[in-house]
Amino acid sequence: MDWERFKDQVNADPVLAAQGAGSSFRLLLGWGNDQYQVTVHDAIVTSVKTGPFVMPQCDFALTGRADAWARFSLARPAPREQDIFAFFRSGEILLTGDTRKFYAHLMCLKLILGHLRTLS
Amino acid sequence: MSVALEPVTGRYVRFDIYGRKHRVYFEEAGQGIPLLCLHTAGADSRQFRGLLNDERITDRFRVIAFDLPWHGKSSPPENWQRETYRLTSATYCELILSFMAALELERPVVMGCSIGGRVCLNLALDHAVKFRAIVGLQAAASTPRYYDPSWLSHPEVNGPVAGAATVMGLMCPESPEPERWETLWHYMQGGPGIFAGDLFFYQIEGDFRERVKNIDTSVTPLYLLTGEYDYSCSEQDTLDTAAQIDGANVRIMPGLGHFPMSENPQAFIEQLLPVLEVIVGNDGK
Repeated sequence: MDWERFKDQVNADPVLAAQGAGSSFRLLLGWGNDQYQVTVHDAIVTSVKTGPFVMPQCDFALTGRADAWARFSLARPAPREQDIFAFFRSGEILLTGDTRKFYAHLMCLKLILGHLRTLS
Repeated sequence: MSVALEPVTGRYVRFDIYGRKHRVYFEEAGQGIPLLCLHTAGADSRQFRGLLNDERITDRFRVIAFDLPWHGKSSPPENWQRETYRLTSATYCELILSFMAALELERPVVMGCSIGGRVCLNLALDHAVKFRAIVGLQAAASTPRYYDPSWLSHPEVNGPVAGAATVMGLMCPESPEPERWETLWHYMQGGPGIFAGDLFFYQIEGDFRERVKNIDTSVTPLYLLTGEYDYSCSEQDTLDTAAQIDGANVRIMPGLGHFPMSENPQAFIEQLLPVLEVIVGNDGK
């Protein structure tokens, strides 16, 4: 994944700017054996740091097998693989951390994750 | 100036449920066989705007969609401030039957989606004779709880926006963007705690797994239509339910998700029209 291109694309998204305004959080993305720390400030992705990390700081983490994230990120995902909640149900992606913050910023989070799809 | 008046009219009706006065909003269009439409959890009757505006349907059906109390333009009952809203199967059925009585609807076709699809199974079990046909959209006997909905009515979370974010992925990504965001707008306008209160019925109380085998489709035909992108009520959930019901008709709808009538009305209507043809053909037999 080209995270610089990801950042540029996310931060140019007018839907995210309008619907995610005010959202700030730190997400730890566990993509198989790889880790990424995504920092969001006021709906702008300010940094994506690549692990491995020692004691990474985050508000919440989304962790799953690499193939689960790969299927989620397909430009045209298969039915019932188009949303992280679908993977919650199948048990392939796990949410840990501050659930309140996850829900408070869920719209912004989902709009950001949707850009994984447009870059695949 | 170009003006496009829709054929849809909206009115209020007042009636009592369990001795409490209710003021319920509904929209309707068309004439013929009554087609009573039930919206999803946390939303309202605007989800059926496509059907209400489609002459292929309204030429033969009187399409009626009402907002559940506490939803859309329907009021909560007096003293609502003293209670926590929770939908139950008994209350839901009573609401539907009371609305039908208030409008003097004679054996309508009932069609509901999600919680509306679930209650269709309840109606098929306990009130089948009162309906001409029953159409469950995204309907299954139960849904496993795979997320915690209590956050949708938490003071530190914007519940209606979080609710919209929760359901946004239930739609097919290729459904038209304006229709998907219209669908989310309805969620963003939901009352506090209402979506979570509906989910009490959907995820906990309204579990019909032990009962659906008793549905008698010789009394009233049952149709189950499920969009393939829905992971809340998946096609397998619907197929598992239908496998227990002799005579249930199942149609899996490609390219549609959890809100077929709202996320892509035109694609959904193409799926629905053959079912309505059969219902019209059976009418009076």
